[in-house]
Amino acid sequence: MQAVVVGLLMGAVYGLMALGLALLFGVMRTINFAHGAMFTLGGYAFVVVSEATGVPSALAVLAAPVAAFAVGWLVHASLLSPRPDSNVRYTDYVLIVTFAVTIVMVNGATIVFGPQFRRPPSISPETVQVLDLALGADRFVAAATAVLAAAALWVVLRYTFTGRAWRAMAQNPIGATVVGIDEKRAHRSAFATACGLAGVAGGVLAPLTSVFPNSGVTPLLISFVVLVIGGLGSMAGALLGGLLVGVVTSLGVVYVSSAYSDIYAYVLMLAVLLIRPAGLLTRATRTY
Amino acid sequence: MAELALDGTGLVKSFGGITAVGGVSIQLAAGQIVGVLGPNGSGKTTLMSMLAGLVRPDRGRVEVTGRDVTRSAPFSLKRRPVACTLQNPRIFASLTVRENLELALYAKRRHGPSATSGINEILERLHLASAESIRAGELSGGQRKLVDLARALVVRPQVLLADEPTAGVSHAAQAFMTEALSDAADQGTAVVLVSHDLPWTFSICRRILFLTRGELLVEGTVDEVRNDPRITDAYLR
Repeated sequence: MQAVVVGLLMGAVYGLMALGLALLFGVMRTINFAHGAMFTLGGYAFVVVSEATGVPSALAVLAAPVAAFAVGWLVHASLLSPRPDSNVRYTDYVLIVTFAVTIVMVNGATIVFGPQFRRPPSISPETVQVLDLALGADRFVAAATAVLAAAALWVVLRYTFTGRAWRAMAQNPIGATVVGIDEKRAHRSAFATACGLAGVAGGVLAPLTSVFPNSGVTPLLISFVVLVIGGLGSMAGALLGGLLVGVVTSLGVVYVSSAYSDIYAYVLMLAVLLIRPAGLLTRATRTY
Repeated sequence: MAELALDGTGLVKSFGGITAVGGVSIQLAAGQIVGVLGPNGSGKTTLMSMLAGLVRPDRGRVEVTGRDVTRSAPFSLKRRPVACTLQNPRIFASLTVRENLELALYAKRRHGPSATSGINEILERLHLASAESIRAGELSGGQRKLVDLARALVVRPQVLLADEPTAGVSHAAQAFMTEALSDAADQGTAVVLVSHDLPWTFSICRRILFLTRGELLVEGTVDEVRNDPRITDAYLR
């Protein structure tokens, strides 16, 4: 039971991380390889603001999404807005550029912060008793933040013009262009928001897992797995996939062995691919 | 001479060495309805796409209300008073009919009570009011065409480009469209209709351009075009 609780708490954050990728895949039909680097950036932003200003952690953590959103916006404006002239497809171009951005960001972090682990102060230092297991309240804070961020994204998608423009762009890019939606602006806001979501995940997990230049690699790989499990581009699928990966990993660690903790998510992915290759929550879609 | 609503001059477009449109010009004053006819592959849709800004011409010039928009990127449609409907309606399946219209207005930065009354008016006009809360993806093909047209008309464009609006549409829906397009023209919208439906096009347009193999074959009034033997030749060739 405790393993399930721990898994769900962790899974919510995996889901949040994958939610950003799902949003981007829906709107831009491509993957942001720098998503993991944005996770790391969120962690560092939290550490730096906390150490430099001494403000309470609950406030300092807000720097995480802000920094990731801002850097995401800049990356899109400076590197992804100019379309390649050659025969490279734009979606491939985004893959290559964001991979390069990851290399720059990881090495930049090594130069600026060094290779050592950094840990911001706890957001909520209390412990919470779940049956006979005492869990740090930070885990609950992280999961609650993930749920709130997902809910906020849902509200944006449902009720704001920007959100509807994203949905329009995801469903029918030509139709979106015909009604006058500015593709570049819609892409940029979606890209920056997706980075911001990775930043939130990096911020709230920093007190639990520490930050180091490559700390975004594992979360990035797990979010790919989550995305495949949930169904590419499906937001609800990303959340469900995140929770499943969290629970399965947690159960595997407790009941099988903690030595293979990174394997369970992939085993789950293989099982889903065998049973439902399109992912758990993708519906058959029609294009008009 | 009064300023033209739409002025396309000497438009040329080739795809992989094949000339789709080879130097066609089209001019419309406000409130005119012009039909573009021609057999399959005559370049009607390419011409339309160039006028809409969806395809960049190799040569030639497009002006909308006196402003050169030839090189503008497609999304700057929002800065042009132009709306268009495509051959396959590109509506948003997961949005309701009303949300589809709202999105078009938002994209053109038009909000507020007058926008809402505009939506209600066009939904009534095209007999879509009862379907306004239905997701567009659940509608029939003909109804989707109506939503597509409603979405284009609701922004009150100065130029409307409609590609095959009546294809696959019932007679009743066709009548709603005729009424809505005539109303828009009466209010000053210049309308370009691309169609294969000759009787309908002749009934609604005053002037016709007939294309074949990317060239303008005949331009004239409905009667002139209807009685031109070259038209029959072009269709039978």
